[in-house]
Amino acid sequence: MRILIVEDDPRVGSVLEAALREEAFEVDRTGDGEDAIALASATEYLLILLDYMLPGKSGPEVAEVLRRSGRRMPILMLTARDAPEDLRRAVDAGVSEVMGKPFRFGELLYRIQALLSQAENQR
Amino acid sequence: MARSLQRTLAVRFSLTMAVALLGMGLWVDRGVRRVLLDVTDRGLHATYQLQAYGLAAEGRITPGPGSLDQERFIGGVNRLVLVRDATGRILQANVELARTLSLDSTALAGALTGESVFTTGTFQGQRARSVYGPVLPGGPPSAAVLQVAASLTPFEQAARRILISMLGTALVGAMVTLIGAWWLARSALAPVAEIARQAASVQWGTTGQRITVHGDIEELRGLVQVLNAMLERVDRFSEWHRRVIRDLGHDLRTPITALRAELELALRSKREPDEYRRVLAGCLEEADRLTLLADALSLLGRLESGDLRPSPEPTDLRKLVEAAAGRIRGRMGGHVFNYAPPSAPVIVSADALLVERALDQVLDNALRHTVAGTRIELRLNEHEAGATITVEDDGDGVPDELLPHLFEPFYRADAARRGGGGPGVGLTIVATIVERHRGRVWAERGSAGGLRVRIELPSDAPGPDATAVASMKNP
Repeated sequence: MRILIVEDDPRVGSVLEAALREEAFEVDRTGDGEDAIALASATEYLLILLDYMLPGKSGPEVAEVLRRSGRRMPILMLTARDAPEDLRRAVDAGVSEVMGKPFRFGELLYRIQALLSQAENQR
Repeated sequence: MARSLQRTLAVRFSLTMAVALLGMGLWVDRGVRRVLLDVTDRGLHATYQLQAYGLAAEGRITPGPGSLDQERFIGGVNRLVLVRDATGRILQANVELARTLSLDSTALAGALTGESVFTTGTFQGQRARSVYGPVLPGGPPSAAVLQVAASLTPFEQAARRILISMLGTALVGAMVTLIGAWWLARSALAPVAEIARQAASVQWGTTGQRITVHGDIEELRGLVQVLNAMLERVDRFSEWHRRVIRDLGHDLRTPITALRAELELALRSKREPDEYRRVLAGCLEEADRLTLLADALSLLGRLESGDLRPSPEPTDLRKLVEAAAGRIRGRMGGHVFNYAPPSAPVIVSADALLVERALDQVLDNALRHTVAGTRIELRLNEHEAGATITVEDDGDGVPDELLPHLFEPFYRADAARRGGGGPGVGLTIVATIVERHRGRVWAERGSAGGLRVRIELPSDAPGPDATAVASMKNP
């Protein structure tokens, strides 16, 4: 039950981490795109929460690299960017679902659960 | 009411043509009168010679037709012949009508000396042309004089007919010219109207619209080019405007996300007082981030609109830079900060408060985007035209091709330059302040690969009124 949070805003990242830990998830967190690829390549995560704008590599770039290397875990993108071209870029990169910022925790947890059970069914 | 260029052109052109035709008519009238008078004089002189030789040969002048009335006589023969004595008394007349011819004593006296004299007198209330001459042409002075005259009425009627015909031609010519000029002006202006129609159909928000008609007409090519260049600028502004709005939304959402997440997490279950205190402190920080952004936007708005204009006065830049160095030094953790103040004051004409704000912003930018242990260097150099302030860091720097965009609002060369939540318009504010001082600001690669920002301020900044010309940056 390990989830990777990739969020460069320290405050948003730490709150997400705390909330998911309260839900009994194990959590790793990074604020850098390159680090995220390294972590996701080394560890089998159940799900990745991925920010769009990141230092090193952007969210879609991270997703693209992971998909190309055969990683199939659900990727839930969290973004403050809602322009259609940004959303298309995310979907094209292989992101499973996109959620706009700011978001409600309840909805975030529901989406995480939905993605996890969907992934479970596909296995 | 708007003036019609087409009407103005047509009226002016036809009036010019009417004046030209009228002038020509009057000139022709004058010439015609001169020619007719000359022809009349020649005819009178020829009759005078015939009558003189007849008088010399037969002792009397040739009689005219006695049966014709005045009107028919003048319309047909129109030759009145008199023989007068030295006092002017009539001795012979070719017709009775001739006896009513007026006498010109001066011409009579001239003829008595043997000369032929032409004169204009009256006859039956009409003007009449006469030639007075000796009874023997070329002979010695005699005691009698031969007067040959003709009514000028037919000649004046002919001249009047020619004048009326010329005036009519001028009038018709002016009217035809008016129609022609109207058509010509309309043909010349039609492409302009079409260009205007196309320009009016340009929709706000749709980029890439251009004037496509009549760019091949030499005289209109300039207009089409100017309009298309303007549309291109409008496109760039639209794009800039859209991006600023979108990025502003992004910059607002990030602190709101943190704020919301903190509060929601705190409310999910019962917490210890210390936990609540930590959450509230975090929320306060996010509120500060939002306040910072709002303040920065407000300042930028006032600078851009001209509501806030620099009040330049002689300012010691060394003092300002030293004060800014002191402020940033107080905020530093483990950075290596270098600043060697110049030995003498550096006086420029500047608004101290605004320049301070720009300095703080550039230093804050360097601090936020670098990690502890790296170097931040501040330099102040005076030169002939003013002074240059340089802030250089040893951070990750920015790719060369993105350096010119750093001063655009909300522009992020790399998310890595975002740092700890500074407003996305910080460097835009710096650029606006420097521009309002007629200075120059640019970014370049630092000596260790970091970012180097240079601010050049002239020693003579503009007065408050000269600042309204500045505009937005790189829209």
